[in-house]
Amino acid sequence: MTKHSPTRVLIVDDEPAICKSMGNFLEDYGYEISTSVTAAKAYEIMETKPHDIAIVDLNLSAIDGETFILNAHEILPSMRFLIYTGSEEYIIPSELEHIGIHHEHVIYKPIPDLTLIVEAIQNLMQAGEDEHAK
Amino acid sequence: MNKVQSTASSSDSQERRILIVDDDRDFADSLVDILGLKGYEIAVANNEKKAISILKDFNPQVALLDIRLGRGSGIDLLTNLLKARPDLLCMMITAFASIETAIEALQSGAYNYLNKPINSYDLYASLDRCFEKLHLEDEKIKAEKALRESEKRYRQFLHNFQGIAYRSTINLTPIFFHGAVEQISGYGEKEFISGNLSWDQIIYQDDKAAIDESTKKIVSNSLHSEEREYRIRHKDGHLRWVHESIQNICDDSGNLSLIEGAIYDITERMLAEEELRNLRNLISNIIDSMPSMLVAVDKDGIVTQWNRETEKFTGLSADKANGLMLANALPGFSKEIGKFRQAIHNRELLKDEKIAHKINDEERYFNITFYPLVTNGIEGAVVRIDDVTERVHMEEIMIQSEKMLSVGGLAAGMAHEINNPLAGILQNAQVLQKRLSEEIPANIRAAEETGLNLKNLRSYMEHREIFRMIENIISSGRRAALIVNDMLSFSRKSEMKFIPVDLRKLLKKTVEMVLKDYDMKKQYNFHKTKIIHEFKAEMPDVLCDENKLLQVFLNILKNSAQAMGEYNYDKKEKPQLNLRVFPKDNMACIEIEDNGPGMTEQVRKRVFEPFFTTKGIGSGTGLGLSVSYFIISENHGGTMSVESMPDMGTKFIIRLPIERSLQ
Repeated sequence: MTKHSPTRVLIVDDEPAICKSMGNFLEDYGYEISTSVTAAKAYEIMETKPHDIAIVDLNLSAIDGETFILNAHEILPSMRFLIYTGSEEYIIPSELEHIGIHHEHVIYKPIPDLTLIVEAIQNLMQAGEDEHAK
Repeated sequence: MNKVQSTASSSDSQERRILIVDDDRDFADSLVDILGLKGYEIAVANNEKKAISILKDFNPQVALLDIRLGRGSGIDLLTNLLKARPDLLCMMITAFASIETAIEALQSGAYNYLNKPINSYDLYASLDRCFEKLHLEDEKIKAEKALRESEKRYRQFLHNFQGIAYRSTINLTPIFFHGAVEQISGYGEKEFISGNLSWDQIIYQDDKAAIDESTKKIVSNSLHSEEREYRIRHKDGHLRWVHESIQNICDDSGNLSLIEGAIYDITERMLAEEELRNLRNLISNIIDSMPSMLVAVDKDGIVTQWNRETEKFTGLSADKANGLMLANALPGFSKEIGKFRQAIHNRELLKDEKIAHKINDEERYFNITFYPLVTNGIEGAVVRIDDVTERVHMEEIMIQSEKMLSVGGLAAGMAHEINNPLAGILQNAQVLQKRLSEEIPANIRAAEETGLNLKNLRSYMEHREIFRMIENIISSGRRAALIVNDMLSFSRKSEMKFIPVDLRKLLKKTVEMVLKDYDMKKQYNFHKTKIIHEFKAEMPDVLCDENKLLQVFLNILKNSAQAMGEYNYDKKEKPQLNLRVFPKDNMACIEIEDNGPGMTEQVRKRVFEPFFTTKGIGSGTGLGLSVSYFIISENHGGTMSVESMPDMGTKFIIRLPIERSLQ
């Protein structure tokens, strides 16, 4: 895979209206999008092809968002994460901090302007490249 | 036995009975004749045996004995008679006046002797002497007996007498000093009588001066008496109380001659009185130190007790209140106070709770309790009145805070649930907006595939204002998101920064902000409001989040400004805002009081509820005061309350703990 191939984004949110519209928005910015309303389905998608970034809702049915992130990190350590949550105040547990998730990676619902998500993705990718360059 | 003129059984002491013992009958008869003339009672015996037997029944005082009596000598007869009756006066009659015989007879106990022949005058004279002697002896015995009786009575009296009786000279030298001396003083009578010790010496020094004064009156005035009570030092070291009655006595010529008196121990009485006094003081102290008003009345409703708290409340002293009718003494409660009769009648406690009573334009609440008094037939009642205003307010705050907590929790949960659908609305609207524009290659591709002219579509959409509608969806969604954000703001603790804040400066700063606010100026003429600062000079900084507190002050000030802006003031009145900051009970108090229209009770009770508003739709979310309330109570551990009545203005009271543990 070369540098110029499109960035792959996996969106996991149990509300289809949020999941889909987020995907649609990002598609138009040239990202390659996969969406899933459950963690189980998301693992399946990850097996078919590697993703660069996952945008994860915390309140998922069956397997919750945090567990998914930890497992996904095991499966694909290079994957980066954004947390998209409706909680009023999310405190990042230490396990997640340990794999590099900090408060700038937490975005609260509803996001007033979706371009903020685009910026967040760009920042994440930039950070990954910087790290790679080292 | 010969019995002459006699009733032998007579024991009359006036009767003079004589026994004649003679074996010469003729002589005896002549004696009887002679003695009969003088009225003596006479019995005659002619031998010893008869004489002894007559003694008992006849009971003679005098016996005339012929010394030579047939058989046996007269001396033996004498001895035997005296053995039977030692008090019998025996007179010997002898024919042979021998000195020896006479002496022998006298030595054997005879009283006297006469020589034969008998001279009747001698006989009379001798007998007279005999009876005279008997009479004297009798008198003596009587006197002695009377004396013994009297002495016995006196001793008994002294024995039963619980005090000391004394008599002394005018110089206070004791003449006698008797009675319970030892019980009272611990010292013996003799110690006082001998002069080793004087009563004065054991008088307690503190009482001495008064007693000396009293004694001076006794020794200097004639016919004077004093009653005095004082303490003495008992030999065992304890103080004892005594009562002394003291008086002086004058002789016939009117000069003071003696002092006498009695001293009683009254220690127990004094102790009992003191105990009673202490008890009474204790009870009245207890009643006076009660934080309640306590008033006792008799069955007719006349005040008999009026404690200090009642004096304080009414301004009426107990002296003036006692004796008044209860309803007149407590005119403010005249409507309820009559229930004491019911309490007495039914013999049960009655209670009236939260009676509203207006004092100096301030509504205060009272609990009135009526306790019937039914002990020992004393009919009456005790009325207890407690000012429970603070408690009623506290209860309201508690109810408020509980309600707010549940409403707040509900709102927060709801807000959270709203965020998800809001995200759905906002995101989809944005995608919609994007996909209807022409700048995205994917749109152009899709248009080409479907044969759509994008330019035409765009002009159609603009013509039909579709973009504006999408814009409206997005902006409405964003506003909804802001409201939810407001609603949840107080729960985001991590955003808070606690620093020491001078509340006076912060409040001033907020007022300045409001004054500069263009909307406020335009709508409410806030700059015309007179603002009075009542800030306590000694005010510690309070640890709090300055921005959140500013938000609270701002909310209240806006609320007041709006209320005053809508109010029609009298010509004399002007909008006025009183700002107070002061410490009280380790709490920092902030009061913001306006003189606007105030609120009805219904509004006041709901004023902190989220989304409750009296303003028109669109002019407020109804969240300002609610969020303020949570900022104060949840974030700062303080209380926020409001006092208001229609046309009486509104006062918001915020209390923040001054000493806050750093979390």
